[in-house]
Parts: sequence; C-alpha cells; structure tokens
Amino acid sequence: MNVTPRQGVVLTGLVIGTTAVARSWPGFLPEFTAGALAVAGVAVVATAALAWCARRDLHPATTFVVAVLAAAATRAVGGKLPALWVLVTTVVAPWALMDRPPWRGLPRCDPASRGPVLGFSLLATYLATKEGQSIVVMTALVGIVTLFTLLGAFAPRVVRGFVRLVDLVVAKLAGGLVALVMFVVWAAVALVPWLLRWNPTWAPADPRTGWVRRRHSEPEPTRMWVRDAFRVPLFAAHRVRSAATTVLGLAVVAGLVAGTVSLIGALSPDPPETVAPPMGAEDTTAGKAVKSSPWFQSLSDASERMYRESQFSQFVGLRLGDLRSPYLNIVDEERRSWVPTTGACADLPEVWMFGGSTVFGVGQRDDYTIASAVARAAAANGTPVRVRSFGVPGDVAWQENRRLELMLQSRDRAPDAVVFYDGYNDLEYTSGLRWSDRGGVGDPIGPLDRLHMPVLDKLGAIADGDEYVVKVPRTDTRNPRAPAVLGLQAAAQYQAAEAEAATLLGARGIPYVRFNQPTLRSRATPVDGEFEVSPEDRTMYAAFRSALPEGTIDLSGLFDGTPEPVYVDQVHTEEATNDQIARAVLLGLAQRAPSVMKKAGQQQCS
Amino acid sequence: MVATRTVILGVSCDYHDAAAAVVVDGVVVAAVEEERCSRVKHDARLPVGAVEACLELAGVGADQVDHVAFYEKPLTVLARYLASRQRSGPRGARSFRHDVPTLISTNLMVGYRLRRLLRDLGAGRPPVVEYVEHHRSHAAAAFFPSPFDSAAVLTMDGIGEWSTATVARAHRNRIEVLEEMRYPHSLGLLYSFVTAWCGFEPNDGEYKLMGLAPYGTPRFRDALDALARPTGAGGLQVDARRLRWFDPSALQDPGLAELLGGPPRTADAPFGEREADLAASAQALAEDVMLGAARRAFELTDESSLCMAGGVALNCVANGRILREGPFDDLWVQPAAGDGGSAVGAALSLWHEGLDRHRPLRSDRSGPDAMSGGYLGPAASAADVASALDEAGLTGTAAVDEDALLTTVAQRLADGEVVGWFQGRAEFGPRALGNRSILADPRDPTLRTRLNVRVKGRESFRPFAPAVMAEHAGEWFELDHASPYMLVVAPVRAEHLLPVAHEPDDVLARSAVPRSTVPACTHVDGSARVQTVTAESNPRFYALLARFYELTGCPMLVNTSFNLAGEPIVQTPAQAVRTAREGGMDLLVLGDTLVEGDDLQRGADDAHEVVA
Repeated sequence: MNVTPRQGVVLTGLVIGTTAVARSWPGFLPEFTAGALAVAGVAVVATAALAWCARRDLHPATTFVVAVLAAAATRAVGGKLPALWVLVTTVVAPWALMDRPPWRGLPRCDPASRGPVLGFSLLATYLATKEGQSIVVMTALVGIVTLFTLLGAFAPRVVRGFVRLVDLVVAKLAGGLVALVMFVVWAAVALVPWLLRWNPTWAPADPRTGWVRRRHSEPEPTRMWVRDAFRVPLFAAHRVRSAATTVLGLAVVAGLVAGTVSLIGALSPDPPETVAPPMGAEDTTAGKAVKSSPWFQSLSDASERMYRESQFSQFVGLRLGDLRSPYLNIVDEERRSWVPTTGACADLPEVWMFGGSTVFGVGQRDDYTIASAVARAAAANGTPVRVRSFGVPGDVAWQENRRLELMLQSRDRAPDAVVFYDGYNDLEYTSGLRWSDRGGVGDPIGPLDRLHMPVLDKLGAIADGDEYVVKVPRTDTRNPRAPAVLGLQAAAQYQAAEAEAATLLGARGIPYVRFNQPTLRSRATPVDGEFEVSPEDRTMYAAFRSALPEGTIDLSGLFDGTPEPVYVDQVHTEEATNDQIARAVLLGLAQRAPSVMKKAGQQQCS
Repeated sequence: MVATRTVILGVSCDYHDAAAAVVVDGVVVAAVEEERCSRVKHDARLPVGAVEACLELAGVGADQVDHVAFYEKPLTVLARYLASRQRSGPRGARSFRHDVPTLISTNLMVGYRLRRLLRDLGAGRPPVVEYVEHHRSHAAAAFFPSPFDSAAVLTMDGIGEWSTATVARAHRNRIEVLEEMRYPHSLGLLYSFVTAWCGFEPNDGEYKLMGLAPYGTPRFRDALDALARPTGAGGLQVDARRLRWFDPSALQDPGLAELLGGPPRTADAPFGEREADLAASAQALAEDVMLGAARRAFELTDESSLCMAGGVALNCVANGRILREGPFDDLWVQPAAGDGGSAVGAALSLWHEGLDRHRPLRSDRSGPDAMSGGYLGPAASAADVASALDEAGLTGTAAVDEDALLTTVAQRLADGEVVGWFQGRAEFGPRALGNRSILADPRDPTLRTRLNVRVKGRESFRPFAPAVMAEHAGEWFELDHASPYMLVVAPVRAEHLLPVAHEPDDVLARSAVPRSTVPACTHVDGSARVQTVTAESNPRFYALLARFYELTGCPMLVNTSFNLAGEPIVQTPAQAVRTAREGGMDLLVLGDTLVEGDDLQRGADDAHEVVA
C-alpha cells in the first residue's frame, strides 16, 4: 500500500484531531495511555472487522456499521470524544489508506514511507499531549510527517535507508526481549525438571511390550493439539512429581522475576520511591523549587501522584492519600515534617498546624516546609516541639475546622497547641463569587467545588516552576459586587470559622493561634520579579484585613522589608523564606500558648 | 442438479520433505514434493511451488479448495519440544533460544501461512486449516490408498507429536489407533543417530546406512541394545540419559564413543570397517524391532494384511523380512512413506474420517492401489520438451513411432549405454519408478562403479535397484509379491548368483565384486531392491523392459533416480537436460524425443564457449 501526499495530509489531520481529543481528556498521561490502549484495541478489532467485510464483498455501508459499533464500544470505555475519534478514524483512515492513485500532478510515494509517517504521527500524538510540549513540538513532528511523505515521493532511497536502520534497531531490541522471555520459559520447562533429575517426557509403557495403549483413537482434525498428549495413564508417584515440578517451576519463575526486579532496583541510581530517605540527608539547606534543583523532578512527580491519589470529600474537601517518595511523604493525611531528634524526646509537645497550600508546602521538600521550619527554629531555641502539618492545598478556614475535628477524633493524642496559618484562600474564594452564579456567603461548598481544579492546575504549574498568573475572568460580571464588599464578606466568613474553632478547641482546653498569612496583595511595594496586583485586589484585601477576627496575628507585612522577590505567585514562597515565617509563628506561639513552650523548654533531648 | 466436487489440499512442511497433495472426492489426483519445485533437497519450507503445481494438475483454482489438512498438530509438537529440552538442562539453552522462536513463527503460524498462501494464489476466502495427527496422517497414507478393505497399520518414524510408532486397525473408512510408542523411545531417531555417527547427514543418509549395512558384521549390536533395548514385541526402551536426542553435544559423548568403537566419523573421512559394522548393527536392530512391531500389530488386530508408512517404512530390507518372515499375507507400503506422503494421508484422513466419506470396497487384494503407481506429479508436454531443448541449444530426434523408440533405447541399453529416461508424470516419493529414471543394463559388472562415480557422483558402495517385468520377478528373485514401489528387498535366486572366490577386506573393493549375473543391481549380500513393473502401471516402461528382454533375455534394467548427488529428482525437461549433460549420459529420452550424449556434451561445450 502506498502513501501518497494526500494520505500524508490526511494522516497529519488525524494527528491533530487525535491530539485535540487527547488534550481534552481529563487527567492527561496515565489516563491517556490507558485510553489510547483501549482505543487501539477497538481500532484493531474495527480494522479486522473492516477487513472481514472487504473479503466478503459486503456493501460499503457495512463500514459505517462497524465504525458505529466500534465507536459505541469506545464510548463505554473512554467517553464521547474518543468515541468520536474512533468513528472518524475508522471511516476516514481506510479511505485515506486505500491504494488509490494520487491526485493529478502529485507523485506516488514509496511504500517504505508508510511506516515513518504512521510512526511519527503516533509519536506526535503522544508527545503533543504532554504538558510543556505545546505547539512547537507538535508542529515539528507534523513537519517530520510531512517531510517523510515528501521524501517518499521524491527521495524514496532516503526513506528506505531510514526504515532499514529502524528495522535493525527494532530487530535487535525485539530479539533481546524474545531472548529474555525465552529464558524465563526455558527456566520453567527445562531447568527445573533438570535440577530435579526428573524427565517429564517419560511415558509409562507396558514394560513387556514397550507400547502405550491409546485412550482416544478418534481423529480430531479441528484441533492443533492431541488429546492424548497429556493424558497418558500416570502412576501416582508420577503425578505427584509432576505437580511438584509445576509448583516449583512457578516458584522459580516468580523468584527470577522478583530477583530481577530487586536487582534492577538495587542498581538503580535513585532510591526506590517506597522508602523515604532520612530527613535532610541530601540537601541541608533550603532552596528554590527550580527545575535545575536535583530534587525538583522527584518532588514534581510525587506532587502529581499526590493529586491523582487524593480524594475529594464534600465534607472537608481534598483528602490526601498516603504517599511515599524521597521528598514528599504523607501518612494518615499528615505531611511528614522535620522532627528534632528521634528516640530521646519521647514526649515532645505537639503543635498541629493547619492551613492551605502554603502550610502544605507546594514546591517544598518535607523537611523545609513551614512546619519543619517552625520545628527547627523551636529546637534551635531550646524549646523542641513536634509540629504536625495538616495543611492541604486549597483549604479555607472552615475546612481546617472540619479537618481538625477529624484529626481530634481519629488520633490517640490531642495537640498541645494548634496553629492556623491562612486567610488568603478565604479571600480568594469569596472573590470568586464575582463571577460565580452558584453559592455565595453561607454556601462555601459551591465555590470550593468550582475552584478545586483551577487550584490543582495552579499548584501543578508552580511545581513545574512555570510562571503562573491567577486567571480571573474580569469580563464576567454576573454577580457583581464591589471589591470592598467582597473583602468584608470574606472576612465575615473567616470570622465565623474562627468562632467555630474557638468553640471546638476551647471545649477541649487546647490553646491555638491564628495567623493571617502574608500575601503579595498585602506587600506594601512589590519588587521586580513579582506579579502586579490589581487595585481591586488591594481594595478587597484591605477590607478583609480590616475585619480580621479578634486575636488573629496579622503577618501581612512580614516581607515588607525584604527587597528581593519573595512570592512566586500571589501567595506561595520558596523554602528559604519559611525560616522567617517560622520565627514569626514561634513568637506567636510563645505569646498565645506559653504553656506549650514551657513544656518544650523542659525537654531533655539528646 | 449440479454435482459439486470436494477438493481437499493436504500439506506437510516445516520438519523435512515438505509436500502438497490434492484429493478430489477421495481420489488422490496430484501430489508433489516441494524439493522438486524448489530444487533444494528435502526442502522443509512452506510448499508454495508444490501447492501451485498440485492445484494446476488437479485443474482447480485456489478458491475452489474446500478443506486444507495439515499433517500434524503443531501445538503438541511445540509442547513436546519444550518438555524434551529438559534432557539437556542448561546445555539446551542455546538451542532452545535458537529453535523456539522458529517453532513459534513457523509451526504455530502454519495455519495463517497456509491461508495466506492460498490467498496469494487467488483464494478470496481460504478455508480454515484442519490438523491431522502426525501418525494418523501416516496411517491414513498407508491404509486408504492400499488395495485392502481392512488391514493392520504400522507407522514408524523419528517422531511425530509424541508418538514415534503406532499400531492401528483399519477398516473401510476408519482407522483405530490402538497402541503407540512414545518419545523418547524411537527407532527412527536411533537409526538417524547411528547415521550421523557414521558421518552421514541425518534425514538424508539413512539409505546410505542401509546400503552400507551388508558390508559389515553386527558386532556393535550389544552396544546398541544397551542404549536402546528391544522388548521383543516391537517396542524399544531407549536409555534417554545416554541418548540425548536433538542435543548436538551427544555426538561428543566419550562414553558413547567408547561404546561405539570410537568417535563419530567426519563427513570427509574414509569408510572403515567400523562404520560398516555399525551400520550392520543398526540395521539388524531395526529389522528385529520392525519385525517385532509387525508381530505386535498382528497380535492386536488379527488382520491378514499390513500397511506401513513413516520414514522407517522406507527400510526396504526390513520390509522384505516382514514380508518373508512376518505373520501377514500381504504388505503394502506407502511409496512416499516419509513426511512427504503425509500430505496425502492428511487429506485422505480428512475425507474419510473427518468428513465420514465412504471408501470404495476393495475386493481384490492384488488389484491396483489408489496411488496411481506413484505417478502423481506434473508431466511435460511436447512443447515443454521442445522449449527445454531449444533453450539448451539442442535438437533432439523425434522417434518415428513408439516401436522405433523402444527398439532404439533397448538396443542402446544392451550396448552398455546409460540412458536418461523422462516420461509422463513425475513420481511422488523418494523413488524413481520409471518416469524420471536413469536406466542401464544390469548385466554389466562395471556399471555400478561407473554410474555411482561418473554419472551420479555418489558413494560407490551403494547398490542400484532393478526394475523387473512383474511376471519374471519370481524367476530372478525370491519374491512372491508385487513390489511396484521398490520398497521391498528380496534375495536374488541362487541360480543367478555367482561364486565369490575371494572376498576383499576393503568395503569399496567388495562392492566391485560381481555377485550375480545381474551384478549392477545385486548388493554385496546377494539381495536386490526390486521394482516389479506391469503393463497396467506403466505401459511404456514395461514395453521397454519387454523389448530389452527380447534383445538380451534379461527382463530387468537398472533403475535409479534421475538426479545427481545432493539434488532432488528432476521434474522438468530442462532439469533433465542439465542433469543428463552434467552426468555424462549416453542418451536422453524426453518423451518421444531422443537426445544423443555427444550432442549433450557438444551443447555443454558450446555453452561454455559462449560463457567464455
């Protein structure tokens, strides 16, 4: 089958169409891969069905029936868009790949170009779905597809040479794979019986005659195997050895597989993700979450995994699943943080810290989050405490209360003090009411639900080290409110949450401190390298700040004296700034929960 | 109402001797071995050329094939292969890695490959391939074409799926397999092992071993019995720890070398007494086992006739003993007893057993069989002959009539000339039966060496076979049965034997000593592999024998296959011309056209000049 330039164009179109579908698929890569496999399976079945139709000279309309059936199957597996893609592909692809003469004036392509064209088309499809590849890679690969189409037409020898080279490489790789599979099979069928000195080919014959009586003598022309082959009359001992060999064979194969996996793991330069390294083992100083950092990729991957494996609860919002990785570890919804020493300080006072993504520490390693920084500062101060981080990206004050409730119920030990470090999310969500036609004051679930995905998107972007600007569609004014009014509304909600927290903790006699976190909106004078803040946002923040709950420690101006850029976006900072935050938090704790610090000062840790 | 024909294509391939056969409504109308088309001896590849030739001979298109029958069960073969590898332990890893991908891509994919082949030949919807068990294919090839209505069937070969030999009872269109011998106990593999030990190619050199056997004494018989003990009832108990089939390193086993009088002979080493004795020992064991198996078959079936197939059934010396010493009144051996013939067997099994189709009643045991004398291959037309001669730059002489042709050829044979004889449809199976033959006068004492060395280029100890007029066979040989396929060895009658004053020690020297009045076709032990020819089975060949008999009083001719050493038998006139030219034949007869040896050589010289 030849690939004409026209077909190349169609294939390129398919790539673009496929990419569009893949991009619209929620979740991207893992789901895309699984979905693509499912779609490929359906496509194979559909192609086989089409070939079947063709062989039987069925009416061309049958193609459409097959296409519709394939699309229906895909709909069940992957959703509407993939189904549409299958429908289009199964109708268009056979037409495109049909061996027809090229359009007048166009040369005929060499058949060798078909492989590269299809291969690069698929590669383009796959890569273009990856974050960060954007249109440049896409365009380049589509260009390659077009190039191979043209080479197939005008310089077929080049294409043939390329195909030969690829064939050689693929053959070598495939040969290696076959050899590996063969080794495992060989180990099972040959090595084990040999080790046992057992001959599976031994057939019990009449010792007098040397012949074996057949059980089944009728012909079986439809089968590829002989019924009697494995049904020779065996002695009991033979059966036992046969079963033992099977079990041992399977055990050896399992052992080989496990051993190979372990060996690969042992030889791997990176430690396995299931084992977290000791705190601060690699980098002993806080750093910037930039892509050049040696730990960035691992942290970024773990962050992606965290979002994937978390669940969304209507009661509390995001609930983090357990996660083990070199730099991001979560156990029982608590992010691991720095602990002063191990073993000797058996009864460290516990401080539970609640907040949003800043407390969680987006783009920060376990032992350089705010909680870790607080613990380290306290230890350095001679008042070691155990700071447990329950910060969850996106949390607002009322969610923190729910989470606190959960923790109090589920944990054996109550905290000695609680720290709330928040404010930004509360204001941000309320400001979202400007364009929301759902919810409002008193109905926080709506906005949270709606904003959940953008928050993840934002955090992902931060973790990737990309620039990020909060996308606020200013043109939509379905629920117009003045910024100052919104700020006050947010503050009112914030106050309500504070009251709830006071009740919750007061009943248990647990001291707490609430900090209004510093944000770019509160910074007196933004410096170069930080984002601009709109006047509306400043107005809104000022209103919010003016109505903070009583007792709240306002850290708004914490970085006002810092001439370097602090904020990577509106609120998040790098690891290095956490020391400054930690000192403020520790100071607040000493003021509002002196008993805790006193207890901490009595600790004798080695 | 239009009667529809059922066309079955039988195929065997992927081990050795690939072949195809077409059976139309139960009648074998064509059968061709792939080696004849591809010119690669024992070609095992997918028989593309053979299938094409068979369909053409049958006059059917690929899209008219109703069933395709394959001669074995590939999945079981693979399973057996995997299980058998363990005998080698870690040593088998290399061969395992080498063989298994091939087995998977060829054997397991055979159905797909066959259907693709038919599609390539124009079939829109090739039928699904059906698989007949290996030894059932052999049994069907042995019984269904035989002239018997019921019979015992004995199949023996190297290995099938698991079976290496089977005993069956056959009646009308049913074959009931009663007992089997299973891997690793295999007479065929043992015989091939000794063949390899004597320096011959396994699956090809077994004939040579059989031909070498009479030169030796079976002094290694006890040694072989220790490796593979005959049970006395046709069974064989192989010591699989010492005889590791399919393990190349087994030939380097010092223990075996000690037992078998030294290490294996290399292909280029001279023959010695040891090789002859080994051959004699293996042959004696094979005969004992086969005779025992025949007796076992008789015991189980109580039939008076025996049909045989499988590669071991080509051991015509043992067949002769079964006929003479065994319990059966009649013996019929499939002419293509090896795997090639299984293509016929698979197709016939599918027709009679799979489709449950009636098999005509055979009332006359001595009547014709259903193999058409073995002449199931392609024929050449006069135009083909003319074209071949033209291409070779030759101008043959057309005989005035049949009588003149026969007279001329007979006279030339009587004058001691070697004649290439190319007539009618090609034979199916390893034997040339008078249509693709090299003929000569058996009375000439120098002929054997001349033919072996000069014409065919093969070992000089190997005997030639006589084609004898059926009614005179009993006068010359101790044979009271027909042997139309040259598959029975019979002693030359005493009155025709010559006394041997001095028996040389050397094997090759012994082969040159005349043993009878027809020395060219009398083996060193005074036996001959006889082909009986009747006017019904091959009229022209029979007429030539008759004419030779009239001229000389000798009713037989040396009949050897029309090929050179290492090549398959010729199939087309062009191949015949080339072989006759390279073999230095004195006369070539292509149908009705005679080509003189001098002309052949002149044509060769001219060709060389052109090349120069």
